[in-house]
Amino acid sequence: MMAFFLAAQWFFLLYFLALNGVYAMLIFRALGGVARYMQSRDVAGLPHLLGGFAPPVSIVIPARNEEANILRTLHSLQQHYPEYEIVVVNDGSTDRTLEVLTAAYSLEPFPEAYRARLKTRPVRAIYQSTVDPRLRVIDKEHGGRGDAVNAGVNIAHYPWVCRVDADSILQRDSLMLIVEPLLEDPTVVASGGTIRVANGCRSQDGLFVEADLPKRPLVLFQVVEYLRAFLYGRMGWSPMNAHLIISGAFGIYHKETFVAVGGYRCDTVGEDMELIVRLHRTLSAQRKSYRITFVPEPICWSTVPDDIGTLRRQRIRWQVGLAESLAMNRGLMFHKEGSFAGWFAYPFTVFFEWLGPVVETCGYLFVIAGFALGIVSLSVFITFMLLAVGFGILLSTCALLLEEISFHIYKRPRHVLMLFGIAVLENFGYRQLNTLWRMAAVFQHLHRGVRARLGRRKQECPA
Amino acid sequence: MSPDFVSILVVARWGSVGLMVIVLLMMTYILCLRAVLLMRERRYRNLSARWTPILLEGGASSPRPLPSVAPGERFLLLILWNTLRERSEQDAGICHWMGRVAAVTQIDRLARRLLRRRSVRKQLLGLVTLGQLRDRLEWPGLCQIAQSGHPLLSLAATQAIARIDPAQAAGTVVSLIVTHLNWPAAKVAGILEDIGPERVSEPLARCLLQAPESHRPALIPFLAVCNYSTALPTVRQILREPHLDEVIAPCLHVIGKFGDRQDLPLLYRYLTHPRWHVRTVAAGCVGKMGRRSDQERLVPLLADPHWWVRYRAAQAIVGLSPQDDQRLRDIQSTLDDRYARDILTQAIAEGLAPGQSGTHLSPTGRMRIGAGR
Repeated sequence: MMAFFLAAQWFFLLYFLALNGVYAMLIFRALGGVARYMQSRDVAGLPHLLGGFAPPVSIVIPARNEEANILRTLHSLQQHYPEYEIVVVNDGSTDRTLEVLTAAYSLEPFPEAYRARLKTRPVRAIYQSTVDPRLRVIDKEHGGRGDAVNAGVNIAHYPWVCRVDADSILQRDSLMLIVEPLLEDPTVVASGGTIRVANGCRSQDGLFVEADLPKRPLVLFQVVEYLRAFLYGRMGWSPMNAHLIISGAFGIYHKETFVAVGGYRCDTVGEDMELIVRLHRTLSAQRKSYRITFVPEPICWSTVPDDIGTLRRQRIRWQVGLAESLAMNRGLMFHKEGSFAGWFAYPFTVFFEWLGPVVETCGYLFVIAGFALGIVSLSVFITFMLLAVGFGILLSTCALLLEEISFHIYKRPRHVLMLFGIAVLENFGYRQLNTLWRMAAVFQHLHRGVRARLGRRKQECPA
Repeated sequence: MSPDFVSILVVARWGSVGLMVIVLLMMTYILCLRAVLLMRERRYRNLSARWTPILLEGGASSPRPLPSVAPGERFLLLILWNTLRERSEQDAGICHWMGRVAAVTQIDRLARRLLRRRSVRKQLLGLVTLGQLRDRLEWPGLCQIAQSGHPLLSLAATQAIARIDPAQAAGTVVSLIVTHLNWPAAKVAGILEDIGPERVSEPLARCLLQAPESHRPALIPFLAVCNYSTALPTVRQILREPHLDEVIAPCLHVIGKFGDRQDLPLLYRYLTHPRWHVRTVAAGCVGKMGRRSDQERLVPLLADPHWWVRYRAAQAIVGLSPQDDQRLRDIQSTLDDRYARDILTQAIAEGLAPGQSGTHLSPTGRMRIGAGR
């Protein structure tokens, strides 16, 4: 028994050190990345200088039962951008999404030579707006978000495709900012934008007006989580060309590359992450020079769950998506051409993101059991808890620091204090709850049959 | 407990205390940063309220005397000056007046001093300001920075020297472009346009013809900002001589941009090129420069295996018969291939729909210099 406890305590200790070591490295990389970004942004003033050279972009919006949001989203897409088109894909909505669009934009059927480069569920009709020539709408059978975006890509005119979720709010210059990496580096094949929490923020007619913090603690916890995930998670991996996800809410892709790798898969709930992992796997195997980049500026605002049930389902879905993305692209791991993504980011994601919840829960149970059995003393118990909580707070505080030295979008000093309070409080309950949900997802994924319970049934890929 | 574990426990205990101290220090630092930011914003607002009307009164007949600038405010004034200078680029009167204000308030000296700072951010600000001021005093220093390996600083210095003396800068800038192929093409094109086609055409053409084959695909698109009389002979020469396949499409883009019908026979040749990308560009160019009789050459491309070739050919055919629906229907009726018919139907419908010209579309999405400008 003692030998087991001894071995286990060394395992947990090493795991803890490795995990936090990588996080520390990511924070340092992110600090450098943010500093460099702020330098170039400060003086080079890209949006106005590069306006004449921005490539034309097709914005694709998958929409299923979005009658309440779709007009607001389309309004927020009135971008300061030289040339773009919008393709809304009505993904078999059972509400009045199509009718709402038809009424607002005078849609008329259009004889488009539909080019099914990516297989999708059948397209019923393609419409063109007679009041806004930039807008086209595809009406198709339900096939899921990935399938809807694939259909949009099939009729996209322009060489860059920007995916925007129907419940996102973009800033006026979002498109200009997200194409910036493409102008800087011709090897960029995809670029992701930073997503921030829209709950509590002021918007008018679909346009973002001012950032504010939400009232509900559950949403506040997510504000800090998003800061952590985007400011040092993605910003840390990005300089190494190793981040494995571009959020489905807002990202831009080189269309030919997107099509060449087969577009989104529709047999996973994490199609956004799966695509990026697949891009890494495929392009590195082909020895192509490519970059997948990330724009740290907060440019897309997304509504997050404000009740615990929806949050639980979302987190389980994310964890399942992560597991599926990794499983479908296991060839990337330690692939000889896999560079940082294959040798570092992928194994890290497997051992610390996918298995992390299981190890973390076991760690907690181990200490509690040891304490109950008298094997772990009170001082060890307290030290363990202090370290676990201390690192959690430190990581969140680093994210707050990154935010402060870069964009400081939450303007008032009380916002800073409130976020710090949340960074402390989230370690007492919220983080553990998340870990439990994610662990449940790991087991559900291992035992299959998860999607039926999530209300997002697994889609069959079109033949 | 083993002695090893006891010592680890001691380290862990002190570590956790250390963590808490670090967190508190970081939090204090964040709050200090916020306080400094708020103070700085307030000072900038006050300074802006005082100086904006002064800086923008360039056109006024009797400008008021300038207020004094506290040493601590000079850096903020430099930022405000740059912001307003860029906004007033088109107004020569204001620009001239702002140059005088810069000299009186000594922000030009500050800008020169910034070049020697370690902070890249400050160096960039100095470079931009000296460019806006057309300040020649730092010319050798700027050329030195332009040759450096730092992508941001070298580019900003190049932009500055191009602004200060476009005539003298032309040759230098062109040689810098060849040695800095990692610069964003869009920015380089912007600098070349600022210098002006009459100044950059000759050195660019010369440089291009002397450049290694592998550099040419990246350099040819810049010919789009050159003079017609230099760009076209250069691309024709490149296409006449043995060349890499990668240079053909950029050359055709340049030909398409200038639209000299003399080049039509050359374009016809590329309509059947084995590379689909070349066929696409060639079809687009024929559509832009060709005659109605060229429709016959384009019709076979409607059945091309590549959608982009079909689409561009269909657009070209529609473009060559504007307002002639009947002729397009006649062409359509002769088509056996379903894909060819569909693509032509779409192009005709797009031709009728407002704002659907689509000639700017590119299958690769990589930047085309001069497109849409």
